[in-house]
Amino acid sequence: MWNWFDDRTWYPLGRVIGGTVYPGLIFTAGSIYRILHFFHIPIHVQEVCVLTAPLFSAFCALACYGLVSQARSHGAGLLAAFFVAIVPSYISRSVAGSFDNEGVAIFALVNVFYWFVKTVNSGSLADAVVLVASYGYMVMSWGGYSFIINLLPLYCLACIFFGRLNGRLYVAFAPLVALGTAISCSIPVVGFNAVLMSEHFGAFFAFIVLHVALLVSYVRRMLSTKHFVILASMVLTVAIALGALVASVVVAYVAKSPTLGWTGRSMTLLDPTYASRFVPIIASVSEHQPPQWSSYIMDLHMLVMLAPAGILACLHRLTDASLFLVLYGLTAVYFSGVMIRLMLVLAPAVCCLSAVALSDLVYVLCGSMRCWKPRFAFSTATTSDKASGEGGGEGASKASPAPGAASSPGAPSTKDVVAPSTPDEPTSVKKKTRSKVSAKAAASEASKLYALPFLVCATLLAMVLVILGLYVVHCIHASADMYSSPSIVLQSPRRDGGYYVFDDFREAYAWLRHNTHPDAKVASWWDYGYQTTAMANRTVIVDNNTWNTSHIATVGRAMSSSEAKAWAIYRSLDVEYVFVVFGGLVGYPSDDINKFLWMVRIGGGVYPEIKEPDYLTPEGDYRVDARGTKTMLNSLMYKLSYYDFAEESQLSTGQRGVDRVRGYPIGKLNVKLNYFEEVFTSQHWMMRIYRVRDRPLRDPTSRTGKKGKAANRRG
Amino acid sequence: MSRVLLVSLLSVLTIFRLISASPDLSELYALRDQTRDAVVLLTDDVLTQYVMGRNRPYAVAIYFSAEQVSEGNPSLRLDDLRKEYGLAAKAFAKGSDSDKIFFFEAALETSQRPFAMMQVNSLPCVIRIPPGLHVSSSTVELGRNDKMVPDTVGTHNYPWPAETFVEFMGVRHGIKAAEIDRPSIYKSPIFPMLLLSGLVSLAYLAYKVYTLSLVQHPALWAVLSLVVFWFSVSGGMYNIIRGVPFFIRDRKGNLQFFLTGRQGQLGAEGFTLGTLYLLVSCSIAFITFLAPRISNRILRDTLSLIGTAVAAGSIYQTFMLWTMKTGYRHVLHV
Repeated sequence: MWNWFDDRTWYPLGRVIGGTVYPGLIFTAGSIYRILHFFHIPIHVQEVCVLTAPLFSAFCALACYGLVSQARSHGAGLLAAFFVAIVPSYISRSVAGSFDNEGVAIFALVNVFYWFVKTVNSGSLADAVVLVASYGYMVMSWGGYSFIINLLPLYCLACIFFGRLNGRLYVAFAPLVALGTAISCSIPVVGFNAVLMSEHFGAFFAFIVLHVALLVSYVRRMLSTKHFVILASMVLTVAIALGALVASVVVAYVAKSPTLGWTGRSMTLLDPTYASRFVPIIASVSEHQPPQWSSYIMDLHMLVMLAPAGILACLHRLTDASLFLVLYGLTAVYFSGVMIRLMLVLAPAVCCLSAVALSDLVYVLCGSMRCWKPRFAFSTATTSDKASGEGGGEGASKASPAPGAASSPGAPSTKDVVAPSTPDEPTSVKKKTRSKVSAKAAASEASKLYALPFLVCATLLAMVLVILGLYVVHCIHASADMYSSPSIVLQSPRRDGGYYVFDDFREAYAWLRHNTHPDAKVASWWDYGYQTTAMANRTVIVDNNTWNTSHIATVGRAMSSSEAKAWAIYRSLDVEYVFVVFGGLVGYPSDDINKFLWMVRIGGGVYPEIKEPDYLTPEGDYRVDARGTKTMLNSLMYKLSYYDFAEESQLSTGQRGVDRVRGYPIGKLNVKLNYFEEVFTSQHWMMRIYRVRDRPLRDPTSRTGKKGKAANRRG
Repeated sequence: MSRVLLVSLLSVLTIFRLISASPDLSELYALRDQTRDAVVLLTDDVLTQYVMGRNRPYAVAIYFSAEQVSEGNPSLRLDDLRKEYGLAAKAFAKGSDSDKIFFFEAALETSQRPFAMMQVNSLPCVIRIPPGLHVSSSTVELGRNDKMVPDTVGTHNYPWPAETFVEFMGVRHGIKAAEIDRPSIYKSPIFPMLLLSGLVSLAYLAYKVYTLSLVQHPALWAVLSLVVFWFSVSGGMYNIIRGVPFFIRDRKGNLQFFLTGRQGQLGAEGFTLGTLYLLVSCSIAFITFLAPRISNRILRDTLSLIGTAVAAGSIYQTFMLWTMKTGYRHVLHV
């Protein structure tokens, strides 16, 4: 597997599969297949692949349950599992048939978090071993592992900052950094990036800080205060000198690389405008765009409203695990704001946070209702942590309800009002005492909870039920409407309630499979590379594994060049067929003309002769009508898309040359091809396949060429 | 007779000398050395003495400035441009070809003659007069290659850096300039010390703040977290990356805060929604954690009722806005 060389893609380079893909998904599906067959369960490998993602989304729900159970309570855990099971954002990757890295990686991510929190809570070495193993699986599955390797050190530093450092944290974190890095290094696609790229330096830094902090606390325990101060000042002097030296070396190393040692995708996260300026190949992918607010509510529904309450709830009763949840939620929500794809990472986080918030709310409501008797309040032995004691005594200073005695608490968000405990309160409900709460705090700062009015409880409970219901309705709607149809077959509703099906892609791929030589090379934009390989079974030039930018740029350059130049480029790559996706006849907006500017940008990034302004009108608009530039209207992409389009649009829509996506007549109706010949166009013209001629038609070199030039001049 | 001849010969010689002799360079050097950045102010005297004439042994660069323009149009950034021009002038003055080009500044307040002669009626404008060009008191025709205006140089790197000036004025005519010496704090000898002391005091300050234990208070972090959350779910990053305005005006001039349709968003609508989310969350958190701790029953009941109303209202409002934006409705698929 590691040295599998695929010569059917990226012609003529080929691709080392082991070194360019994250093998987790393939291994997982393969092992499931092997295991099932070992037990003589005859299931086809395709079915295994189709069902892998749903299976792992079930596992993910379990992992979420575990994570929230560790952080809060089993009830909240159940709620979290319920949320994550149907959250639309994750359904997009976990529907049956979605065989994508994220399908297993989101489970792997939450699983790592679960084992991490469990280890932090238990301090058991066995849990740490499982943690390292699950981290290894995560690294194998998805590039998103760098999120973990930055979040966990952040958590570690936060723990030190909040004075929560203890041995259990060390057991959880130190083996992960040491062994986890070793494991990542042995996965070819990561390789030495795991120690050389700046993304991982945070982990090493936290590793050192953790050791130093533990050492300091140990030494402080061993020495008297006076000795400790002397030692500290001595060590500090040496450390500053050494630190300056090391820091300058690291800075020098990092500054040597143009991206300061960060990979492009990570730079995009830190500096959101980075990709749009420097890495068109990242910026061009629609999943890498920043999301609008409507994406959040579409993908997370009411969870996005409850998650902040979850953050407050976690901070209100701060434990090691709830601190982790807060950090996870915050980093994920920031990153998802930069890249819509990372909404996937955010989804489990908001599920957990919302579950914590809702379960706390429902607990209070039910507690109030259970002991609701007029004029009586219920008090509990639940305590607040040392942190919440800060605001104590500010609000209610008297236990008995006296009008005007209590001042209203300030902001409803954070000030914690603790009433002094008085023994004369009659009904007291003992809330489940959390394991993390120390007995000392419980004794000293027991706060009293009073029942809320029945009306409030009933209304809120009804509201909770309604929004839970709406959530289910929305999730079913989203999965039925958006994620249940294959993306390769499109459909549009008809007036009579049925659907009109556009099956052009499969039609065209089938044509390629049946009508071309098995060794023929097919060129297209990279979006269609995997599909061509799988469905047409032909060698492609570039595909969705964008490991080599300059090769993609070559294809972009060919598409943006004039016909003759493109012909030379394609001939040099042995390309026999070129296809373009064209939506102008039926109004399919994500076609190649709309992607064309990215081809220009990516091509121009490597070949400076391609300049974006050449393809834009003087006002900076991208147009293919009469105002479009000459370079644009002469580019291969324009010609392949609009060849014979005028006649066809006259016949089918009655409007000659009107592009239904762009909504205006195209700039040049009479498109002639001399170096390419049309061999196939699918039913709705969504896919047009051209053959690269062995030699150009003879006439352009002599009379027609001159005539054409003269005509151009006149035009 | 011979006396007359002598006098007329002398006067002819004087006139000839006046016309043909090259200007006194040493005075020009002195003038240049007196200035702050090797740019000589172009007064009428300087103009007649060093610029006008049939030819000169040096090229002349003139930067045109007008107080009222640079004050009235800060967007032109003429002051920045002037600084870069000065840097370029200094670079030439220090270079090996310091006698081949001189830099002047024509200020409208000092003299209007250069503006009329060179037909300058818009700023920014910097011109270069080649050594061989005849400059008389009438207007002077300059080639396109000798005028630095946005049309000829382009605006992509405006305000043009000193490098552009050096390239335009000298390098393409074979005049060498010294390295451009930008004043920078990094070059100052005390910079490392400043940096070090800054770092140390920062570390000390951080330590002091840390020991205050205020920073460990969850309230602070709760507020920070809410801000981060609010910013992200409002699509704040989208606003930054795409540079969307906060609101726009429609054709009638009314403020428009909402774009309907799935494409695009305005700053205001995102932050409205983000605020609504926070309202829901804060009221829920209030009911969960704060309301049960209020011992005054009336206050507790009222506040919790208000909290419930706020939460319900915000949820309702959120869904209404969502429907308004995308036309989405909850549909039962059973």
